Amino acid sequence: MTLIDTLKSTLADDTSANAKLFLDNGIPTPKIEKWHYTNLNNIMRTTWPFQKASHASQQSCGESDIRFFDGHATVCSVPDGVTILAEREASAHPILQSMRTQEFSKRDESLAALSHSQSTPLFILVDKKVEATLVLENFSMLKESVNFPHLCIAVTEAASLTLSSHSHSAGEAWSNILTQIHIANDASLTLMNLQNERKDTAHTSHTFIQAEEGSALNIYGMNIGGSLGRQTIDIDLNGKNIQTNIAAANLADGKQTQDFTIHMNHNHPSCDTNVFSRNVCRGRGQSVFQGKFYVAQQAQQTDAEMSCKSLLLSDRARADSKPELEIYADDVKCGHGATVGTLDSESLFYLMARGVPRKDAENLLVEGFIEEMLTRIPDDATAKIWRAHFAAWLAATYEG
Amino acid sequence: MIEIKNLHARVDDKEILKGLSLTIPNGEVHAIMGPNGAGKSTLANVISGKDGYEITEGDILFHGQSVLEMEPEERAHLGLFLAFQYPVEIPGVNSMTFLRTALNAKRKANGEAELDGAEFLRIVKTAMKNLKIKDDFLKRSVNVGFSGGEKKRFEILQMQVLSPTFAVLDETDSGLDIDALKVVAEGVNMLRDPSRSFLVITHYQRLLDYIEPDVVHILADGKIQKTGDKNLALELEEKGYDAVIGDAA
Amino acid sequence: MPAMSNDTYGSKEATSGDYQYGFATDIEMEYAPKGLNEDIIRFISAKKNEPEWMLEWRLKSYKIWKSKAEPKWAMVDYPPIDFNDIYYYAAPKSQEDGPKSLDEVDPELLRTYEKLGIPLHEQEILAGVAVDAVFDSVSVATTFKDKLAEAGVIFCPISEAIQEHPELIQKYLGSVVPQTDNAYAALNGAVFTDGSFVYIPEGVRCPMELSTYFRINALNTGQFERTLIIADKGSYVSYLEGCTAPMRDENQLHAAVVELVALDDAEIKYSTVQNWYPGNEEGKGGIYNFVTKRADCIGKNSKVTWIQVETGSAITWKYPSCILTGDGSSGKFLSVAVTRLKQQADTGSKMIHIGKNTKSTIISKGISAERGENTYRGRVAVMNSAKGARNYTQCDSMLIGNNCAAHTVPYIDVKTSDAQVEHEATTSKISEEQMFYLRQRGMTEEDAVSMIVNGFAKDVLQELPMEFAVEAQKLLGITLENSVG
Repeated sequence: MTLIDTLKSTLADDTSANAKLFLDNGIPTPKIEKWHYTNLNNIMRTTWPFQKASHASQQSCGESDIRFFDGHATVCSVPDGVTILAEREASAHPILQSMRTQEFSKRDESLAALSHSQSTPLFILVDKKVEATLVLENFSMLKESVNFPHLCIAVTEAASLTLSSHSHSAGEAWSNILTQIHIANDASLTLMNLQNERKDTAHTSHTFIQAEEGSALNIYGMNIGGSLGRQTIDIDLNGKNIQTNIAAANLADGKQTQDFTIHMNHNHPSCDTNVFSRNVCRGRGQSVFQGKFYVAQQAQQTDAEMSCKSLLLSDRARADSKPELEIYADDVKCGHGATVGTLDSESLFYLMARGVPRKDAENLLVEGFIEEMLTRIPDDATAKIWRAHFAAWLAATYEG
Repeated sequence: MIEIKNLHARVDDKEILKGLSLTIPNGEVHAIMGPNGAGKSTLANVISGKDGYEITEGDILFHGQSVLEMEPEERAHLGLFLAFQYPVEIPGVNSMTFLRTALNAKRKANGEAELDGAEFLRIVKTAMKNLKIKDDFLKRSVNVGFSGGEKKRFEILQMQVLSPTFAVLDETDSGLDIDALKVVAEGVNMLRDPSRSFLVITHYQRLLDYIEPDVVHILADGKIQKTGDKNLALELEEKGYDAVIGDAA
Repeated sequence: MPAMSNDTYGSKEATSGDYQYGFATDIEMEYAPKGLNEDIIRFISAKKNEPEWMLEWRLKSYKIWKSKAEPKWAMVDYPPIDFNDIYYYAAPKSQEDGPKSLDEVDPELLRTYEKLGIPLHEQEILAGVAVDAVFDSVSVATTFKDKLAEAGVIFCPISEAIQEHPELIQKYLGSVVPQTDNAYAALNGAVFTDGSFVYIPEGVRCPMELSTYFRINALNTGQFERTLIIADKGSYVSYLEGCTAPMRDENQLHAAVVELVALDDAEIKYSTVQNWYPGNEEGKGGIYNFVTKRADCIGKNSKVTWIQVETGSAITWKYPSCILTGDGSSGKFLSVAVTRLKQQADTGSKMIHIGKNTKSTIISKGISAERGENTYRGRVAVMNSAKGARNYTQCDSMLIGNNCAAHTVPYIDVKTSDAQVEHEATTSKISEEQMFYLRQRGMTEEDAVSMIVNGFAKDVLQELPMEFAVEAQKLLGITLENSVG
């Protein structure tokens, strides 16, 4: 029996739409467009039986405000203006309730549906005009387990939430994370997700954002650890004048696959979007970047740019990118650029001519390449932490 | 001769020209000066027939004929030329082809035979020499990658080639250094002729040192506030709009 | 298929009735009844007097076709095709069915011919007017045939090549586009009846652009064209396909296969202008153009350039591609695709880098107007073996009006660090400022649109053979003249 078999038999009696979507479609295969490049064979072939923790094994949060242990939330501190709602309270809040009852229907969302059917969400409400910061951790403790951290967040009018999250693990596991966020008019969200799981852990995260008029989204992500790191970000722009900045970095080594898949639906006029992706692959690592801008007919004056650059540092590494545009409005500025290549030999030579040894020169150039992404992160403390993780990655020689 | 009679024009719901009247006899150069937002560029656009303006009252007569109902190209065929403040880039369209198409469109509309390559080239080369424009210039796409000065010089080149009877120069001096300004002014002066008239729109008096106007008008709040000779421009330069025309500025 | 004209085939229906299966081979018949089965394929093969191996090849294609679903991933939408409602072999239509003179031809069509500057006798042929079979170009054609023979160039219908050059056909047919490639390619393999065969011997530079002077003769090429071009070592050929003039065509489904093989140091340039019937404003009628075009740059330093100007057809599904097998080989894809009315085009290219130091360039200019939907779909794949590979892709869309759509779907898969791949995409529109500028200079609205669009497409148009380029420019202007306003 594989993990998926046991999972399916566990779910067999679950008649909810989300469970059904997963049961019908299982783990997405490369035939499904959104999973074209990222092969989930590792998860498919996992033979440990399906088990998930029944409760959080620890109650401490360390440096964080909230810590998920094996998918179960422990809340240690909450800033003023932020409320953690009980299930019953959340059901009275229409937006949070709609997240709770959301039924996924697309085949490529079967993993999000699985998470939804298996998890108990943590409901977070950020009051009007409040500016709050939350530091969050996802920690897989239990060996050979699947965990389903699930967040439902409502950022109300003119509020501002900064959410910094870090995922890591202590034993082989699969983290399948679901985050649903609603950003009300003139509110803003800064989301920073660092994925640095153990090398034998699979990480798949699904972030769905609904943004309203005049809001601002700043989203940063980095995949470093795990056997597989896939972060899906799906954004619906439901009002005009929404500013979105996204910067993502994949660092792939060994036999890792690191994947950012970002879909932005521009449904209303005058939204500005910038998506920036940097990928570094060495060993037999694979990076995947799939970006898609959908621009509806009424979304005139959309200004959307996508840039994706990939660096291949070893001959067995591979980089896959698919920057897509789907445009139904004529008065828009949409573009994308993508490059794949190795380190620039001129720059290398220049540094070496100044006496820098080859290895150091290479590292300097890779640092510069990723720094272009890190420098976009507005929160200095987070940028500093990420920079340190990246430096450790760069210094390590990884076999896996 | 061009006559503008009590012209009222609006964009969306905002009235910009509020009863502007102006007559420019053949052979004369008139300058229009005015503060920002006075309606200078609107006037240039309305004369040449740009979309987006509603004429609520008044008329524009070109050699006695109203042009208000005419398409921009029909006005061009009649001999109207607008030197744009911001010449537009047309990627991939060779400047030479563009010029030739424009000239032949005008000739055709006026019942003249299209020019053959040699004749056309002779006209263009002469104009290029006048304006000190290098040979390879016209191989480039229309206005694409041109410097500010090159764009303005190209406008005047087009004017020389198309040889209009009435030319409107919309802030042709903006963004030009003094050398380029002189070249452009010479290019205009060369065309001064008893059968041709000019309307020079400018923010600064400087250009008028090189293109000497017969008449200077001050436009503010959508109307001609004051008319005089070239000394009016000097006075304006010295005292400022407020002092010369008072509240209307 | 809904748009299949009953008038055209009515007489045949009367004789064949509902007879669909178990159709007995009778080569005395001039046509086969509707539908597809092994007997029909045997009939076609017998009609063409083909050797046994060819029949076997066709039957194998048919089996593959039966097992394959139509590709569904393209962004095109059309009702299901009833493959049993199609004639797969019909003798050339009697000229008596056509109009008797140009007076009977749709004036809109004539106006287009006139604008394109097509000579009167060509207009008659294009419009299907019954004309005397002997016309000027026949003698012209003969002269050129002599010249080609002198150079050793083989240029003939593919059916003739199957008879005369079986060794080349057996070696190369299906070598670039295997029968298993996709459903349409398999269908074509089973039922193709026409198309060209070209062989350029070693070291020969083909003395003329092929097919320019033959385009009229090549008119009734039918629905399932099969073209095979082989450029032997060090040779060069430029092949032109299609015609700027809109052609009358009763067949809705076109599924052509074009295979190019370039050996060491050989170069093939393949230019297409496609202006088939696009259907009406509601998307009714119009050609379904499902084409598989692929080149194998099998030889060292070989070179293939695909150039296409696509303005016609209701649906275009077409990805002229290059497999860059030979070290130092290079592929280019240059495309202008226009969709207006309710046309849908899903087109682009695949560049598969296998050999060392292979290079590819993709330049795609998509223009969408009215309710047209235009998709660029492409793949640049660099295999681990392709050290030193380079690709540059530029993919620009222009939208005219707010009911059209433009999509870009590029796949970039790189599996070696020793490669450089660059991709850029932009969208633009015709700005009011551009229009006003040109009109102030005396150009009409139509001329201004034509000028801006031709400027947008210039990087592609300038690569077309001279006389094709001039026609293509006019065509773009005429195609879009009613789309702005």
